Amino acid sequence: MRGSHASCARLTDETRSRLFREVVMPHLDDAFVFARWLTGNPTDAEDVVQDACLRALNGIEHYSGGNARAWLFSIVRNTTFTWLARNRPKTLVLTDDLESAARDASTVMETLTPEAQMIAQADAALLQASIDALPAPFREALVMREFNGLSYREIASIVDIPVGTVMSRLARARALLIERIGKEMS
Amino acid sequence: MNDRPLDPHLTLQAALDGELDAASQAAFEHQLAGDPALAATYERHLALRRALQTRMPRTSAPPALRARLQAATGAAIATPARAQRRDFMKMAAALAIGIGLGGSATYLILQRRAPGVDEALIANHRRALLAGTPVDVASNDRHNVRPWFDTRIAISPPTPDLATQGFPLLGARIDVVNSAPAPVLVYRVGAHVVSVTALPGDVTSRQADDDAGFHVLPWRHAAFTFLMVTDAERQELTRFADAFKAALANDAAAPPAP
Repeated sequence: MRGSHASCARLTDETRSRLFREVVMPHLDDAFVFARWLTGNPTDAEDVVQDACLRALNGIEHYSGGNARAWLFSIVRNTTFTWLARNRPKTLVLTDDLESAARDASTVMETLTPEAQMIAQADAALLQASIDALPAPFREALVMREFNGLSYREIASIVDIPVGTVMSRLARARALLIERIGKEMS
Repeated sequence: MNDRPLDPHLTLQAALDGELDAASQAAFEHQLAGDPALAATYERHLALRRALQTRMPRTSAPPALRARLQAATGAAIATPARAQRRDFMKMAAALAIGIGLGGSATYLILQRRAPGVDEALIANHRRALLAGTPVDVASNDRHNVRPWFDTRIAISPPTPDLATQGFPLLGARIDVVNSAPAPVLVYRVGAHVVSVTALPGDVTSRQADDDAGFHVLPWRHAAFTFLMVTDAERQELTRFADAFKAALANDAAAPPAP
């Protein structure tokens, strides 16, 4: 379990394990929820989270005492990308070309506008399919906000984007979901 | 975020996510009142939020994964390691207070009172009752409370919605327990309030203590120890605790998340 690079030598295995249990373990469920949405299924999520946790354990000295959950999420996110690149290269979408799409979130907004009541009727299968269909950068922002309850600041630090971009990605993600629900249900 | 006027659709996101300060929130609500199209969009977003929160299956980490990780990090040594650290922190806190007050007699008294977290929790609860409001942030929406914790401290405990059981969420505050910031959920129970302090890991507390009419009830769940403190009657606390446990246990079984 002990890493080979020099900095690891400073922590004993016991300290490392103790830190891991205090920093990482309380957020294991959240990490799993996040990975499940990113990978699309629980089996892959389990692999990814285990991998991410071992990385966190080996690199626990890099945790500088800030937001433990955000720290773990960055690791889970990176691990997921590595994992997806290796196992499902086709699904990996680069985020940069989506920025322009995110920017005009508000202009696309009102193309299809289902009633709030109709949205409230959307069932799990439709919601699931709509979320799965979102471009990855929008989906991860939505998942972190809606299913992990992370704040804008946390999402911004995990994804390494400005808070304004978090907001526009959420706006875009929600607009796409509403649009799709409207399309499927009318 | 408030440096420049935002696109109303972005402000709408921030309002929905509880990310606006009080003034911006008021301004947004004013704007909503005068703009039916914006209000309709907001309604759609609220409906989407509700659908996502209620319809989507919730998952928790598989027990096997948790067990493997615990085995990998030797959970057997967990308890002594934690206890040692807490004792040290308590001593450090007591020492700091002792030095601050400058009297060795005071220091000894404080040190003797340090043993349980219960005293600290009751003191926190009592102080909260004496303050103008028992919460730092007032919100009956748990989806506002968790991000609020997140922006301030690293920990954000599961926050069940118990309004239908008659225990509305009043909001949240941050207390200091064992010289570390701790998230506190505040619920209304009849004419009283319950402070639920969530401490990560195992915390030893004297079971169901009575201290001058205050009751403390600990419950260990999902990497947290929830310590419920109230000045309400014991039975009321028990009723609340049952609802709280059932809600979180359901989340875990039916699968959980935020």
